[in-house]
Amino acid sequence: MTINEIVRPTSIGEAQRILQTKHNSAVLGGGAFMRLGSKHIDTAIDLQDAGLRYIIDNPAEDCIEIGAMTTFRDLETNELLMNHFGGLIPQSVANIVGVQLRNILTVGGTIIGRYGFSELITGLLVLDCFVVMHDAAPIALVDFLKAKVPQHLLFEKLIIKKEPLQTGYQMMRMTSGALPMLSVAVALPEAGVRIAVGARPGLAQRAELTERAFTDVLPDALLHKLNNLHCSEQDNVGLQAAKELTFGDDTKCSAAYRKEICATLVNRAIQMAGEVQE
Amino acid sequence: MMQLFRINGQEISLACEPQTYLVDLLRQNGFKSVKRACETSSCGICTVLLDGRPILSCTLLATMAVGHDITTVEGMRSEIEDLTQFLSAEGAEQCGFCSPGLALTVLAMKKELQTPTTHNVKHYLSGNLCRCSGYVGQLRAIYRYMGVEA
Repeated sequence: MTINEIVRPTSIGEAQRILQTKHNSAVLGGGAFMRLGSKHIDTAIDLQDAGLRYIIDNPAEDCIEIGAMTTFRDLETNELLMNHFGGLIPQSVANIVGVQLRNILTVGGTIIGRYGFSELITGLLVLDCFVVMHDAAPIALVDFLKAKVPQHLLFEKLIIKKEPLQTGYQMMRMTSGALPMLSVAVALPEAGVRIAVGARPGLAQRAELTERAFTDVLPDALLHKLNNLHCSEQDNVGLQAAKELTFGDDTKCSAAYRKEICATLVNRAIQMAGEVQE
Repeated sequence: MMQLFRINGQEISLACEPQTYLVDLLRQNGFKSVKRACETSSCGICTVLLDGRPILSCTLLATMAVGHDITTVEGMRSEIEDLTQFLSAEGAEQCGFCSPGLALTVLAMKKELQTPTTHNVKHYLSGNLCRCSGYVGQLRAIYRYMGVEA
């Protein structure tokens, strides 16, 4: 990567103006993944002085807001996040490489980068999560991930609606800190189940067909089915999710291996969510 | 381009290009305790402290560190010597190449974690790789240093 200049705007408005007016400009985020590329950037925008590093409770809107420059270590150690959504967000980032890298990685970097291996995106996908680009209306994360990244707008924050949820997070990696071979997040609302699977190795996805098949099932009934030794294929949520989603090969493991562990990890995540409930 | 850095408590004006990484800036200016190793943000050997928090100096652009307190082993001699006593007592060190990064991470951990468990310590240090010691001796020493019952 080569850079002509690095600027540090002191507000998001100023940052967005630079992004829109300066030729070949780009936002740095933490800068961690960018360094592996060979891109040339004329103006790199460092957002650390733009007031975007925060995790705040917004009781009026019944939501939590997370700024673009919040680091993964901030997410991991934040009490508000530990006490909401079953601690899903801290859990999803806690095993990413080491504390040193988590002190650099930012929420914005992973949301805009849309990395397939992003465990944060896996976790956020089962929450009622919205992406806010500066000067634009919030858009549901699931829709944001399907659309093209708006190049002229700057990512400002995430909004996560509070709701009573039991959650479970599971992943498989070769060694502690390695990138995951598969990541799974599950949320149990009052009825039904939400399932997100990441590192397929493509971008995390919801298992929408499987979720629809279990829409009205209460958590207890779901767990009862899974804990039954003679659980049928139809009742086996993990198996259904593994059948529905697509997987690919990469240097870490094969598509077949991912499909195999997906079923187990989804079921374990559901059981984990159920245990918390009890 | 000259930029003002705060390294080990001292303001120093250093020549720094926009794409210079912190590890290179520090080594080029005599802070040789900072080692470069994996180049993939994985090993923790290049760890320095930024405002007291451990970060990978191979991953952070030096310009992003302007306005922050950068600390290397050279700036924490007495604290490092204290920790070294514990490591030596357990015969934990071998080649020593990973020691500066490990030592700074341990010092940051001691400040950050109030009453850590062995699990907390291992989790905090999982980003520091050592290719010759096997970790057992190091962990024994660090548990003692941290006052953690193993």
